[in-house]
This record gives sequence, structure tokens and C-alpha cells, in this order.
Amino acid sequence: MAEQGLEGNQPVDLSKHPSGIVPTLQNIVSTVNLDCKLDLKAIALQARNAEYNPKRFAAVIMRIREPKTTALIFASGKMVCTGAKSEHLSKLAARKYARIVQKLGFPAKFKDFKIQNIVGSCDVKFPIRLEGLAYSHSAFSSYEPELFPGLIYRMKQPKIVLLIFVSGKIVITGAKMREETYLAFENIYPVLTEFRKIQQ
Amino acid sequence: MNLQTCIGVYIYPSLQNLGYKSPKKFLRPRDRSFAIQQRNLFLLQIPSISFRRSIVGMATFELYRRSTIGMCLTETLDEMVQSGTLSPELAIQVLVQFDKSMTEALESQVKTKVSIKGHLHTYRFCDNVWTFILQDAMFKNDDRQENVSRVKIVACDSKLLTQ
Repeated sequence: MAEQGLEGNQPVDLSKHPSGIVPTLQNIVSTVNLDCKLDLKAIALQARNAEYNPKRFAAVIMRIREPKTTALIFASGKMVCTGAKSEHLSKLAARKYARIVQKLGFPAKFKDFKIQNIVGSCDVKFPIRLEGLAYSHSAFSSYEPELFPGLIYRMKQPKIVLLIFVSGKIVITGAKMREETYLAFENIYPVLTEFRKIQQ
Repeated sequence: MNLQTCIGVYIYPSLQNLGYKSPKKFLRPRDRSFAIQQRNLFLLQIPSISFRRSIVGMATFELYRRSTIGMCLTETLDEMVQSGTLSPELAIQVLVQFDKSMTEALESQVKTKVSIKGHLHTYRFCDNVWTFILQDAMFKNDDRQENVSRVKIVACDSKLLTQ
């Protein structure tokens, strides 16, 4: 799967990304059902790179190096895989965790794999007047610089949340498909250029 | 975090002769060959760690029994029990006192600090015990440093003892 950065070497497909900027995927969260009850203590004792502290959290926290991800494995057999940089890496990682659990002697399956969240980010490379943006898009914006320095933009279509910072750096979250991430960015880009901060 | 760690030189275990209950505490064959392969390396080999509440009421780790000094004491007690100079009950009591004294001594008398840096091959946290396996670790203290190709660190939270 192509993993180009935002200033990637490959030319950007302008029909898909009119802004000329492709948000980079930073984190994919996925879930899968291993469809069998798990003995978490046995897993923590046998598997490598596992943490299990039932007093603090009722899941085994396991990590693998390739793809660099973290999994939360619950006694019900449900598993959450976080940290992957693309959908297919997330699935690959989830499969690897399922395989580890299987090798420890559990009849693990791989049911209902689903991408739950995609986080992307990019840099428009110009500063933004957040107050102005918040004022004119007040229905979607929440800007409380005393609480958080970024503007929180809750887009309705697609239903995506964007964090917009004065520096021009943007975080796009809440997508289940990467196309939603791209679409949300293309939607917001003209607004960002409108509220570009003119530096003296 | 207030972690107490124990670093000991590996010695073949002989506590079993003492009629000591848990055979799980002894090395599996795999661990043994690993230790032999890497002869002059510092090793921590405590497959399981248990608490023990002594008569006085203070809990101790049995973590230090596998250190050089702990193994020597065990062997000596072992011999004494074999020859009938010591009852097994008393031998166990001595070991419990040893656990307590080691904990106290490390807490109050050891001031040397050692830094260990290496590639973290494996970590584990289960039953309040951290296990780390490092590769190409560098042991450093004030006046000397040493490279060790493989290290296993077992660490427990000493705060758990006072609870």
C-alpha cells in the first residue's frame, strides 16, 4: 500500500486532492473478535512484551515491533489494535496478535475485523486566524485557547473532527475510511486559505 | 517507582533436597542451558516470585535466594539438614530470615547506583513482577563499566511488602 508523506515524491493526484496536499495517516484503531474466552494471566505469562495489571486495567496490553502496534486483549476474546499507520498494516498486526494468542493454545478466530478510527495529519504551511474561523463557522467550531490551543471543528458532512492550529498544522480524526479523511481536508482547505493570517 | 531489583550470579539450585515445597522455583532445562552457554554473565533467574509472611508479620520476597549468597546459604542449610544437625523447619526459618535481612540490607546499606542500558528484547508485567530481557546491555557505575550480551532483570515493587 502506498505510504507517501505529504510532501511525497510521487505526484499528487489533483483530481482526488485539489489542495495538492495529502493528509498522512498517523494512527489506525481497529477491533476484532477472536471468538473464544481467554485466560489473560496465562497469556501475560507466556507471551512476550505483555503487561497485565488487572487492578488497573482488565486487559492484556501487548506490543509487536512490526507493524509497530499495541493491542488490548480482553478476556471476552475481543481485541483492539492501535498504532498502525495504514488500514492494511492494522489488519496485518491484528492477525499477528491473533496468531500469538492461537499459538498459546486458544482456539482464536478472526471475526468481525473493523477499522474504528483513522487519524491523519497535515500541514498547510501558513498560519491561520482561529478566532475569525471560529466566529464565522461558529456552528461547527469550538475554540477555547485557555483550555486548548487548537480549534476543534466538528464537520457534519463527512462526520469528522478536525483540530486546527495557528501554525497551520491540522489533525483529522473520526474517519472509518481514509476517503473521509481526505474529503474532510479538501472541504476545510478553502476555509483555511480564507482565514490565512497575513504576517507583518 | 520504588523497584527493588536483584542481580545475582547463577548457581545450580539445590533447595529441593531441603524438602522445599515449590519445584516451580527451580530452573527449567532451557534456562539452565542458557546459563551455561553464557558462563561469565550476570543473570537473574527467578521463574516465579512469591511472598512469604514471616512469624513477625513482615512480608518478604524470596527474590534473593537465587543470588550467590542465597544459594550458598541454601547449600549449607541443605548439608546441615542432611547430616541431621538442623531440623528442616529451622532451615526454612533461617531462609525466611535471610529474605528479610537481604531486603533490609539492600534498602539501608547499599548506596551504589548502577545504570543498565541495552536493547529491550522482551518485557513482561504480570503478578506485579516486571521482567526485562536486554541484549547488548551496558552496566555502568562510578568507576567501571561492562558489556553483557544478554541480561534478564526481574523486579518487584518493594512497596507491596509493607501493605
